[in-house]
Order: sequence, then structure tokens, then C-alpha cells
Amino acid sequence: MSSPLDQFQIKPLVQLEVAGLNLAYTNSALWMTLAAGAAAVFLLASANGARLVPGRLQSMGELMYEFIAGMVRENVGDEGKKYFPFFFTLFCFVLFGNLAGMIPGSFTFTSHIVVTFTMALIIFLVITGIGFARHGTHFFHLFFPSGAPLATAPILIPIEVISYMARPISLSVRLFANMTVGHIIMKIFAGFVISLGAFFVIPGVVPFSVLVGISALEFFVAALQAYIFTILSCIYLNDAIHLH
Amino acid sequence: MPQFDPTWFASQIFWLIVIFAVFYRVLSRSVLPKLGAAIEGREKQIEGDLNRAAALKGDSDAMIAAYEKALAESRAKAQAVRLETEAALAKQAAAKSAELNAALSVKIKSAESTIAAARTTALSNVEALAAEIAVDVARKIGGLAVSEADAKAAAAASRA
Repeated sequence: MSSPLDQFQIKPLVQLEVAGLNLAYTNSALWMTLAAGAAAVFLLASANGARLVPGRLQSMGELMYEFIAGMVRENVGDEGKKYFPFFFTLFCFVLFGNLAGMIPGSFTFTSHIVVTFTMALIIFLVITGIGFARHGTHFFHLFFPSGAPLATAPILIPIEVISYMARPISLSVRLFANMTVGHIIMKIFAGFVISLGAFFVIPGVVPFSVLVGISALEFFVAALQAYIFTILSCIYLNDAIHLH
Repeated sequence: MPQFDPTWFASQIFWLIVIFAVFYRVLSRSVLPKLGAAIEGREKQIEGDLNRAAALKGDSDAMIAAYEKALAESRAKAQAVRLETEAALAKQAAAKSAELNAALSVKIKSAESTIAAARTTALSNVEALAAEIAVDVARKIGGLAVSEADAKAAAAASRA
């Protein structure tokens, strides 16, 4: 029987090596392409020939648009408007990546820490850059809340700095861990269905019904984690723009 | 865990950035402006329609006010015309009845004088007849010859 970790195995599809770096097009890259492609096709179909009275597709596209636009407006304010396309792309990419992972036999690229950490790190660096560009050295006030007694600085500043530096880690590990654990549990219960069902058909029903429930839960987690990843990025941007 | 196998780190990062960048470009160029324009256009249309409806309602309110004003004016005019006509008719009726009363009183007076004349004539006739009867009675019963003139005088005396 295959290990529940086999689903995370990366397999090269097209070999590619540039300057000694292994840049092979893998099953992970394939599913990134498929998820982003499916999202792009869906969104292009909903946006093309947009009408005053929307059809079903256009309604869905507008729903997503207004959902993310509202999220950015509420968490960042008007200054966040120009970053809206990025957050929309981020949400769609993670959401469709998570959902594509729910297709049996597919590959969940959001269950790879390299992928989530790269996204989180880029977001973190860009947001920190925006903070410095807007506030200069005043940005360091983020690490010391105004109004706190000066005597608390030796404790507060390290805590704030560490929690700030931990942001890309917590952001990426949250998504990676949720997707990885969920998929491992699904695989384990699926293994139970096979192994129990092979001996007697009846006992296999028990893990199967659990698997049905866990699958539903995983769909929920897929959407929720995409939402959390995006809204936390919004909140970090808000901190950088408005400080405390 | 395969996640921590560094063999594929470079490939993962490379393809993530490439695919994400392409996806971002497609969404920010072709999808989001259109969806945004559709939503904004709808909001504008609704706002415009609401404004137009408000303007039309104002117009119709003004029309109703004008109509009611005209109605009140014409009512007042009708009332005035009615009062005027009533006054004129009353005046005419009063004149007619006065004229009629005058004609009637003239007629009554002439009739009264006719009656009075007739009465006098009748009375004098009765007197003459009474005198005649008295003469006849005196002659036939009493055998007295009384002249008619005496009888008339006696009758006149008894009436006095």
C-alpha cells in the first residue's frame, strides 16, 4: 500500500536546468498552471461581455470581485485600492489551488511549504518595503506602540520585532499545515476504506462515511484558508500603511 | 516528507513566480477592469434612474399642484357666477312680483268700486221696491192711499 505522503511527491514532467538550477516543469507546476488557468478561464468568461443585468457567470465573478474589494476596503481603506488586483489574484490563486487539490489524483501545490513560504515572504518583503517607502524610519514605530511606558521598551520592542518577523512563517505554515494535514487524513481514511472493505465489505462503510464528512470539511478548509491567507495579507498591509 | 526535499525548491519557486505573474497580468489587465466597470456602470445606472425618478416625481407633484390650483380657481369662479346669477334672478323676480302686485291692486280697486256701485244701486232699487210694496200694502190692507214719495221718505227715515 502506498504511503499517505506519496500524494505530495513531486515528479518532473519536463526537465529544465538553467545555470545549474533544477527548474523542471513538475506535476506541482502543472497543477499551478491548471488552477490558475481554470480560474483565468472562469473569470475571463464572467468578465467578457459583461452586461448591466448579469448572468450566472458574471454574477459569480462580481461576487468574488466585491468580496475581495470589500475585504481590502475594510482592512486597508482607500489606500488599499491600488493593491486590490494583487489581493484578488492571491485569493483566486490560493483558492483554486486548494480546490484543485480536492480533485482525486491531483496535486495540491498549496501543501508545499516552499510555495506558501515564497508567497508569504514576497508579500512580507513588499509590504515592509511599502511601509518604509511611506513612513521612512518612522516605520520603526510599528515596533513600539505609542503611549506605552518607555521602561517597557526593552521587553516590548523584541516581542514586536519577533512577532513581525514571524509573520511570513506563520502565514505560510498555516496554509501549508492545513492543506498537508487535511490531505493526509483523507488519504489515511481512504486507506482504511480499502483495507477494511477488502476483508469484509461492512466495516469499510464506517471509515467511508467518516471520509465523506472529512471531504466536506476539506472543501470548507480549502476556501477558509484562502480567505485567511488573503485577509491576513490585507491586515499586514494595513499595519504598514497606517502603523498603529 | 517530500515537502522538505530541497531538490525541487528552485523549480517550485521559479514556476510559482512565473505562473502567478502571468495570472496576475491576465486578471489585472483583462478581468478586473471589466468586472469593475460592469459593477460601477450598474451603480451609476441605478443612481441615474433614481435621480430621474425623483425629478419626474417632482414634475408630477408640480403638475398636481398646478391642477389643484386651477381647480380651486375655477371653483371660486363658478361660485361667483352662481351668486351673481342668483342675485340677478332674485332682483328680476322681485321686480316681476311688484309689477304683478301693482296690477292686481289696481284690478282689486276697480272691482271694489264696481261692487260698491252695484251695492248702492241695489240698495236704492230695494228702497224703491220697498216703498212700492209699502204703498201697495197700505192700499190693499189699510185701504189708505199713500203716495210713493211719502213711502220713500218714510223708508229713508226708518233707515236713518
